Amino acid sequence: MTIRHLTAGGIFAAIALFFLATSLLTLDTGTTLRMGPGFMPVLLSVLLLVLAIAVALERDPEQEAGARPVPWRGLLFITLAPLLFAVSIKGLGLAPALLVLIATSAFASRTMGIGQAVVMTAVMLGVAVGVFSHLLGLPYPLLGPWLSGGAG
Amino acid sequence: MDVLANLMLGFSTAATPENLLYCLLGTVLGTAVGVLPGLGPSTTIALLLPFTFTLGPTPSLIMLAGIYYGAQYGGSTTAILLNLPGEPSSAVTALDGYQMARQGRAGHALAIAATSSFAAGTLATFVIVLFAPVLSSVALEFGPAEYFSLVVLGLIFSVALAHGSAVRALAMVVFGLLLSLVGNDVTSGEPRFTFGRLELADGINFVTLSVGFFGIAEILRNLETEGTAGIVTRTIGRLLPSRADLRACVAPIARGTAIGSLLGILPGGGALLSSFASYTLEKKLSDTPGRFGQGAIEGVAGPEAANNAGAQTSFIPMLTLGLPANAVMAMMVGAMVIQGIVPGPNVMTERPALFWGLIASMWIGNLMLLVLNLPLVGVWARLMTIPYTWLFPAILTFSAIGIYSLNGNVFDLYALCVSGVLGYVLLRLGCEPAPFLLGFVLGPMLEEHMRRAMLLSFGNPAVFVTRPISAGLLLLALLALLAMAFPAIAKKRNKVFVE
Amino acid sequence: MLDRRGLLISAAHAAVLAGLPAARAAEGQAWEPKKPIRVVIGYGAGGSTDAIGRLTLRKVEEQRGWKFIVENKSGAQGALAAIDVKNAPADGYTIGLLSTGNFALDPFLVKTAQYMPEDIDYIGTIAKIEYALVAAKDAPYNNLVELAAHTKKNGPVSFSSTGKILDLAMERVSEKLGIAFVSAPTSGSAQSVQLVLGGHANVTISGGVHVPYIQDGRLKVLASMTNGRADYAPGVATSLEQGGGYAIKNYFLFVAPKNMPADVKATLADAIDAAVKSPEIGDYAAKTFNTRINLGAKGSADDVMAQSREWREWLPNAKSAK
Repeated sequence: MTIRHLTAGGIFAAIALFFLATSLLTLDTGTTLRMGPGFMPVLLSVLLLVLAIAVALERDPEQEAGARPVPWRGLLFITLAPLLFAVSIKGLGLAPALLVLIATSAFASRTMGIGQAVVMTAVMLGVAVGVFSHLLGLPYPLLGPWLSGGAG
Repeated sequence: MDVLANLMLGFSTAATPENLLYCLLGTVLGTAVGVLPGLGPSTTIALLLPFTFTLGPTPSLIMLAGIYYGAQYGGSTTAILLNLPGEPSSAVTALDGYQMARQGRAGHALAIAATSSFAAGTLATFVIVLFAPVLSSVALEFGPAEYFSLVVLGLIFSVALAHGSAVRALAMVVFGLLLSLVGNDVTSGEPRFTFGRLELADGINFVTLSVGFFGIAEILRNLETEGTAGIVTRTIGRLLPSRADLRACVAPIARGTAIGSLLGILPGGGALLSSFASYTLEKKLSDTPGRFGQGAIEGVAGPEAANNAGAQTSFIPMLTLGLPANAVMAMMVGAMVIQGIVPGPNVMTERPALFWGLIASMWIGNLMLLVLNLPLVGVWARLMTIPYTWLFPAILTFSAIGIYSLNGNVFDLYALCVSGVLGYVLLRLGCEPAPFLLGFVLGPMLEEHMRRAMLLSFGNPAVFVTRPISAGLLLLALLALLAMAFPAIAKKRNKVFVE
Repeated sequence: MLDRRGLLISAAHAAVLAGLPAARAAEGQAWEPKKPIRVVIGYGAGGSTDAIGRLTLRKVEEQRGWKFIVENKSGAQGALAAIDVKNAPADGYTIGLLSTGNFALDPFLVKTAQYMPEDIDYIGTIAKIEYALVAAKDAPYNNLVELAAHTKKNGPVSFSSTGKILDLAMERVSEKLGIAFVSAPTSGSAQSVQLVLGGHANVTISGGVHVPYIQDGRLKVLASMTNGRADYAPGVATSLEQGGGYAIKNYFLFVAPKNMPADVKATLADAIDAAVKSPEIGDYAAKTFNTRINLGAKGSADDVMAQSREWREWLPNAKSAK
């Protein structure tokens, strides 16, 4: 039993308990003939709970050697980029949303300088707009209603 | 000879210049679209469906089929190069294919994927020609009980997709199963775990999870070692596989084709299981199962063959029973209906030119894919020399836009962020994504068939063991579980002896 | 902003300006769409609703020079699309295609309905779906009365059900005639029929896919479930004739957000009516064994309201309704 196993077991247990509680509170389990929408969730979350305990108690000979550093900067920007894309696509339109997405994700790397980031963003924006808007004709306006005076 | 006459008819239909052109157009378009994650064949075919109105039935179906397997091939390319599987079957290809690419063997992986697809396509064409009439009646034997047991077997098999501990893999499978329950219950229509969010009514998207758990988690893992010596040497290496490589793949291809052809006949998910089943089988048969997940070429060849063979034989239930194996085939059914052809038992006899022409065109399409893609292997492999600082924003961009285009829904993007982070955390804890994804894909089938089987047997659970096919499948699952438990025990004992 | 879509739109406008206005002006209609109309189809691409819907829309495009953008929004058996339409602006640029049951029945079967039949405007129908109760050829019953007698002696039969409205229809008929059955929902009519063919389920109600199997002798019709006999089995009586007391009325139904301007609604209804009347739609409906009919805007609304009243009266007695 190590911290790693306990953490993994804990995550699975939390997931199992969440699904178990939600299904017991909101769903009808039914009978074995007419299984309700809650039957399978209850069955599976109990099974996952059992497995979570097994995971936590497991003695695993092949322990992964050496802890690798956590890429905090990467985690932040990689998560932020699609989020910013999500909030801007409807209002600002495809092109500005892509700009935000690419520029933000460029920051995720520690090795990327400002100059390089600008060049990369420009190149990628051109490629993405070309492929998605012109080649595939995805039905999203390049500039959204916030920028084109609400004409849509 | 009947068989020969059928083949002749098929090839004379498929080989007209017009049909060849549409076949080519379909495969090229399919490959191009398959390469873009998220923007899978379903989106493409939906975009193109109105266009096929103006074509005759045979060319339009040939083109749609071309898009379908072209996209599957393109999907494998992205899975191998970027660890971005857009479809369940390419999740298997990603396991060893991506590792090969990391080791500078991207060319090998791509070439063997194309070669085994083609070989399997050729063999499966003959299987269809010889057995088509028999095969369509086999599918009828499969009722809800049989499907349930097949899914259970598939889930047990999927533990082999991970190379860590079996317990963690099983936990991931069950987690996947649970997550697949989110959304409106298909049986009662009741919303489950949606918390009033309409976007969750249809459940969580496969592509969202797959890109998150595979693609984003992989980006984060690569960023761990950024700046230090840890990042992979990204070289192209030899483009084409060696003779020894090819020889090692002959048996996996043959076995994959057999598995794929068999499972493909089962409507609604048979083909889906084939690549997973083939991977498990190859890992079990291998003298060095430890190589699997670390870049074993058999782990690419077998599943790719199984997948392609399954894709081909799944046209049989689609055409004769009107039961499509997946969303793409559902659209092909739609295209047929628009042309006034109702899928059914009579399609084969009433429309022999269409049926056999489609079968023959699949073979021609596979040949085209091989001819088109082998020279492209070099180009694709060169993608690996792009600096990673350039590559990952591109992956992120294409993933985000692809996922947004699935439903035009920003909610899917939030889900992408969550699944990326969760996938990365679990990966750090030694919980691998492949069993999770299989659980997620098979979850709805498992529940649907279990509930249906219980209803149709008036509540008697014995139905799963009294029907011979179902009982046989469950027995196999049990044996697989035991086999999983015993080598572990045996290994521990060996260790004790060594010490 | 001159992307491809922009070009398409202006091309559509050009067509309108070039050829069509003369005829239109004669009809004296003021409204003309100035941009593509979004159509939300409540079922997946390639389904029967999608197929006949796309054909109809294409006909409108041909006849009027309009442009449609079709969006398939399956999920929650059409409810998601219905909610989408309900919440869209009532300016004529969003319409939906679903079926009568989605509005007349479905809202009353869920715990918390997110739309009601009154929240929607109805524009017209394409066709009435012709259903039949079918069983395997060798089943020991040939009609509803024999089926009732069989279940009294041998216990319930299993019923593979494609939709809620079919489930409840079977329940109503069974109640009348004393048939015992257990219903198992399936993902679609093709699957329902396959379960009967493979001997996994005893009977099903199907709206077209079963016909080839009737013709090749693997399945037989026990009763037509709509108010007329089936063309492919004229010797088999309808459920009404056999004392079942209920006939299914389900249509492919065009809907729109509530309170559209009158001229917009009239123009849309006219355009759809002209397309439905075209020979192509008639041929297609015949090929899929459905009856082409457009109830019109008022007729569709009346039908939905009448059916919904009727269902609400009956539902409290239903066993399967929640």
